[in-house]
Amino acid sequence: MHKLLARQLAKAAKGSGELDVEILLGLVSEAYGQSDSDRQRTDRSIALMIGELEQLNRGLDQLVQERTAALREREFELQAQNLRFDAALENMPVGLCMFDRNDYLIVCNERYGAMYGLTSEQVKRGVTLRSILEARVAAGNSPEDAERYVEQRLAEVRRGQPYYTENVMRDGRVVAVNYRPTQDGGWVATHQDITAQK
Amino acid sequence: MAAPGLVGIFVLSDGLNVNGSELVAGIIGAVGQQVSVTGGLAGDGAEFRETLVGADCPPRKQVVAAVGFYGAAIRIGHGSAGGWDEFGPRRQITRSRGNVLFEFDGGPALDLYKRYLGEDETRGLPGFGLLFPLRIFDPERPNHDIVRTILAVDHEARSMTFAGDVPEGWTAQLMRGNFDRLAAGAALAARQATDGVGAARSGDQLAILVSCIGRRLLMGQHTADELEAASAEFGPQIPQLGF
Repeated sequence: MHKLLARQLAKAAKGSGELDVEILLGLVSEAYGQSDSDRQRTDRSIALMIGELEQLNRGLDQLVQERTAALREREFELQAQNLRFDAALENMPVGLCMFDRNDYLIVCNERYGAMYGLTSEQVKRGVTLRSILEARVAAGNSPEDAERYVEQRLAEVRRGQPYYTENVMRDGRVVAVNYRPTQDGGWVATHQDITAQK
Repeated sequence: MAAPGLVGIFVLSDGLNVNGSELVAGIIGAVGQQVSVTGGLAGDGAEFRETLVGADCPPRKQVVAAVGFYGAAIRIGHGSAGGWDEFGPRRQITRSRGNVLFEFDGGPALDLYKRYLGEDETRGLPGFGLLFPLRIFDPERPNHDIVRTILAVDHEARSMTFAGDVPEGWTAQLMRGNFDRLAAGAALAARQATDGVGAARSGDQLAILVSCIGRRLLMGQHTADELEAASAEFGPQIPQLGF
């Protein structure tokens, strides 16, 4: 027997043991009424909750679309900016290189590699200044005292102060180097062949 | 009531004119954190018109009564658990003052309750608002939630008054009940209380149970289920009384 019915029967029992049918029917009817109210409340709650969650979901979708569109727009802007930057970099009349605070190459233009006879592999992003200097020495594109030249260059950039120098290459070329530290602890340098001016 | 040897206070308060959070804070401020404070706010069924409390006198309105338990031999365990299930989206409390809630997510709080209660049960506000207790928590401490029950509504201001504070900026979520889980909540509270006393359970024992009119409204004739569930945890040897 269901425990609720057992309780109802116990409540409807008279002292004599007979059942008071009117009380029993009242209790049973009340229980049906409570059950109906509970079911209706549950149905309504679920329907409202689904509606609210769908509305939130739509809002979220819209937000995602708006953010995605904004990101795309920003991406296009960045692409355009990169194209302009590349064009400027490659059309410079001088060689240019930029390194981070740990002397890893961030970017350089083709003219920089060409000036020192370096392959694209030797000037790819992430190589160290030392490896570039050593490659320049190996390619014969350094001053006569190559070992001193490498150590001197490394010491100069570590000082973090702007400097200007003119390097005389073994083949007689004179290259002016203009070094400038950047705000993030890295540095940028331009290399210009000034042999004709000498 | 604060005196040497005080180990616990059982409080019964007027249920319609008291902010429960402030009542508890006031008592703890007077007697200290080491004293167990338990009890409840009085009800008048689903009427929400007048609650009566008495101690050494006939019951009266706007009374807070308390019984103090003194002595090193007394061991007090207590527990509190709801068994309510949270449901629906989480909402931000965007306007409130103390224990009066005005807005969720920029909209009137009372309107939300009216939608969920439907036309028939809306007429039973504020009592039927107890069918959807409110779980609230500080978004920075989401695991420390509090369940608030409704005390009154103001149809003109479209606001609701709860038994404790509902701080602005906190997150809120409606809750709903299920007979079995509410009964399981009562059993859990009883288990917490017996565990709180622990191995020291010996000598004369008494369990004082306090339930909520919201649970009774929802459970109807199933209300006895929660009493049975709690009693099963205490065992037959512990006399019980309650509200």
